[in-house]
Amino acid sequence: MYGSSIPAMQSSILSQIDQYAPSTTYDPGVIGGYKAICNTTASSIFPSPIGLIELLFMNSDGNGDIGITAALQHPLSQGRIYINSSDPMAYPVIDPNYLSNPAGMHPETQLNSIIKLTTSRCRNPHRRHEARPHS
Amino acid sequence: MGVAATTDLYGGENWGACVSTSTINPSNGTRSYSRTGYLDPLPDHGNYDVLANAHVTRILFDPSSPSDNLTASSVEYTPDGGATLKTIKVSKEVILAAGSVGSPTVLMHSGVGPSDVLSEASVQLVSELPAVGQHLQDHFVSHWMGTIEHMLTQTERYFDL
Repeated sequence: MYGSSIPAMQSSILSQIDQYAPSTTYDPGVIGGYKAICNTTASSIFPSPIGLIELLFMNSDGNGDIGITAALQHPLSQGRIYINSSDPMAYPVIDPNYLSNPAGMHPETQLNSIIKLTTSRCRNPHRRHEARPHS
Repeated sequence: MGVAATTDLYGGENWGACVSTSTINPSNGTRSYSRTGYLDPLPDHGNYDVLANAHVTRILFDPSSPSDNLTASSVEYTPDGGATLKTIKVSKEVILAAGSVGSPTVLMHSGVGPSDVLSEASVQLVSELPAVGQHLQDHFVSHWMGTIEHMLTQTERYFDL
């Protein structure tokens, strides 16, 4: 689906690795880990046959609704989990840090258009009414 | 649609199109989860115990073990949402499998993690490990749903409803 634009995405990700390393840690080992993950994702995973997007097609549920989900398999944004209380029953803080790496924004923001692309190929005349995200 | 089908979605090369498995027991249509799938069919030889409704709060380490090679001595949990705390002694090993959210949380409450987070949370630092909780990746997802009009069931067709 991305085909020929992969090398351009790859080089923009690799060239911006240092710029977009997260500021959520004081430890250079962790920052090094972020760069290693980013590097492997861009260099080894993107050009391989592995899918970047997982498309899930859902057969009708109890309401008779069908659905399509597009899930990004290798996000470049990395977040963290931490605690802010010594009470073990308190919820931890989940910081997903979404869209923190603009080079990764290309697949992330394309998800909606990918869904439109796949649904437009459905010839089923019974598909009428979009329930989510717009209704 | 132009995507080749794959023969083994859960094997070594898991790209391509496939019908994925559901968590449904095919023999009777009931929900299949870890207990029904793995524990219920096992004969009970008395060599394991499952504590239900036990929320693990911390792992306690042997204070005489060095901080760069800590040994777990017991696991602390609460059976009643935090009102009482109990501990289980470790004789062999602890396997922490609480998921991407749970495992870092238990480790940090046990004093293992980045020193700035632990001091902010007023948890005593037992072993400094700054990578605990880091590198969290979430599958960014976009979802579309549509209702289908005129979905005729078999019954409706036969009785012209």
